[in-house]
Amino acid sequence: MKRLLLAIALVAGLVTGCSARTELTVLGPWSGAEEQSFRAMFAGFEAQHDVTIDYIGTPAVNQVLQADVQKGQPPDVAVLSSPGELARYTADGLHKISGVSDAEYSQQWRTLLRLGTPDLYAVPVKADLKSIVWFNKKNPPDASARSWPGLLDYTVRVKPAWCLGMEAFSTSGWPGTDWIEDILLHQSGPDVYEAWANGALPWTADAVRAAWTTWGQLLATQGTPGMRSAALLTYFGDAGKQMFATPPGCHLEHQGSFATGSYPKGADYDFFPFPAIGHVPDAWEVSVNVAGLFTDNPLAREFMTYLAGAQAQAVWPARQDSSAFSVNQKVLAASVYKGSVSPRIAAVLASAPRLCLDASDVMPAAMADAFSRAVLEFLGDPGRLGDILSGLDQVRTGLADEARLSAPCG
Amino acid sequence: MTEKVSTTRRDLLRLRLGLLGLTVVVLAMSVWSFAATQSVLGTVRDRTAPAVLDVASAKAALMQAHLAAVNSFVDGGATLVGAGEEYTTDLAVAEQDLARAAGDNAGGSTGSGELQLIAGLLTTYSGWMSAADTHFREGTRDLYLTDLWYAARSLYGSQQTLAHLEGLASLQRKELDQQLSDGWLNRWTVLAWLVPSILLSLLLVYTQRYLWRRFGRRFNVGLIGATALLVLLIGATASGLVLADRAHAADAVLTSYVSNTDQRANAVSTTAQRGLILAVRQACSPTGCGATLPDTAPAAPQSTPAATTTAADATAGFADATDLSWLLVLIPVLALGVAGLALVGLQPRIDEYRYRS
Repeated sequence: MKRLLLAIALVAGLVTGCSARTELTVLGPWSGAEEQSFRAMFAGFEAQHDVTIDYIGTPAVNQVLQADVQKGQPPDVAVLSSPGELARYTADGLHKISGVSDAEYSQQWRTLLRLGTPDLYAVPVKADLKSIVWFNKKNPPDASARSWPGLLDYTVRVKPAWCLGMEAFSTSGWPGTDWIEDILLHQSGPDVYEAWANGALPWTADAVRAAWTTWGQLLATQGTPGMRSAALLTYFGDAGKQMFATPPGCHLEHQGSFATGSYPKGADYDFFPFPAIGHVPDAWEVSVNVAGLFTDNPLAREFMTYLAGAQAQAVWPARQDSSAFSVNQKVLAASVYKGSVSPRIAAVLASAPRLCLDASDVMPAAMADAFSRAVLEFLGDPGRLGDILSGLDQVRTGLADEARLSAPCG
Repeated sequence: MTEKVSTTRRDLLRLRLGLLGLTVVVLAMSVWSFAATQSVLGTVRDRTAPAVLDVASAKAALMQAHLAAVNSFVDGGATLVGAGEEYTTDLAVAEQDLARAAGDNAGGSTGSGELQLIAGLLTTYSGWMSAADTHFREGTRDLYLTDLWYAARSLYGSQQTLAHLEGLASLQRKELDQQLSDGWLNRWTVLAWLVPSILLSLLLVYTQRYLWRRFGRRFNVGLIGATALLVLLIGATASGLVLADRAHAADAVLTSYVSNTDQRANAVSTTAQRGLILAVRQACSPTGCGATLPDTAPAAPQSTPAATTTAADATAGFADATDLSWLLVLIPVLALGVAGLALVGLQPRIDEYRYRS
């Protein structure tokens, strides 16, 4: 009888052990190769805690999360491409977290990860540095091009100077929004940028208008016939490849650090910082994928701590041909980044004294969409700038009550 | 002191137990096999095959809508009707097909995810078409052609609508193939009910011979009746194989229809892309068309062979594959008959030995 009881207990233990393996649900924006990279980030956590992470990747992550939260069935953790979208849930749905070490993240990032509140709400998964200009090292611009007047001069002399591509499927126009954001940040400074990004400054304000007209002047300086229609028709991922054609189709590309992922294999490239246009403090525009905690599950809380740690943060940047970056300072110190370009980008991301989130990622989705469309309208007919800015400001005032991230710079 | 049991009585009891036991096994396996086959074929008829048809139809309707819109803008009809009535109708048909595919979804959670994604991408597509309409009426040629190009890119671009539609079609197709070849529709699973049935027939024959040798009675009417009913039962259960063959024939019709529909949709798609690329290139060539627009438009498509099958043929074929469901009642009745007649045949002999030791 004892043997029988022992056998039953053993079988019961096996059955319950098999069927009760803990699960965490994680929602994120990645599929395909990016999903594999993200899964590699948390594989160690699954092994350590004997847990299965049910990852659901969808490009419509914002909509899926919103529906899940409204139904009262949020995932344990959600990773969003837009910190502004995550900030919507700080009042209801998002849980405070801990475990982001002061020794591993700069003060700037710890400020940004608070999403405009006194508490920590987000963990960075990977980040991109904007405010940079790429070039082919075989056709480098002269040193003078690293100042704004020098850049304008280079644009006049070298035809065509800029690789431009505005098409991006449903979000066509966003590469132009990066131009406006960078010009505004480097022309009027982080304080004005912050006020504009969080909706306090009208689109019709002089500083914002100046950013648009400055971009328009640069494009006019480029002067290539049909440059605007070519920019409108070109997929953003195809634009920069022309730098490496023979002869080069263009010489400079204003694009984030992820751009190298679409450059031809073996291409020899480098970058320089987007130059200051006015007398303003030095600042960099960045974008970041952030994870937020949506349940009070202790294991999910541990997962957030694990995700923020150097061990997990080093995984994605260390993968072959990766153009992903971590903002964890221990990852930077661990020499994960190879070559001459990546360590410099990683150093800026992890330690720059002033960082501002991509304004489009901070604005409500409707505002960001209107911004992208406005870029297309502006390229179609720059003479309509007044109407375009008035239209954008009408959208802004209509969204005045929308929850948004109030502190996009850190 | 133990009682000595007659070996004849013991043999008869064992034969009765064997016959009844095997009949129960035959009953269980036959009913299980036939019911499971019916269930799978019912799912194929009601969900999987319609889902495959829905997705093929959605793609065809979407391509027709796109061609209609491109023609409307390129030929100038858009001045009055925008993308046009045909575009609106065909796009609505595509959306209804996808809604039905969602109801029939055989692709599990992956299929649901794909359908949600495609619905979102179609919203993007129709959004660009609306923008093209607005810009066309405003007379901003560069922008309406750009909008049309963006609409086309949201269809043809990497990981965009058509890629996901094809992924979804492949998922549904895979599920259909799996349902028609795995589980109870796998030819080898016939052994699950055929082996016990053969064992039962052998036991019936053996019992008949035993009674002949032991009691000198050449024929036992009960056992002969049981054997005859068993043959009928095997025939009834084997009709599941006939149904599976009908389903495979319907699948061949479906495959031919979907392949032809796909070819025609691709031809419509090529015509639309050709018209759009020629129009955009004509507008941008003097100045600059960028790095993404193809240098040359695709050649006009060759004519597609006429369809030899229809969706209705395939649907009727799958319905035929499930029209013998009444056999599910007959099979247990036959099995009970086998058991009853076996008892009728054996019980009098057992009773003869009731008091013998």
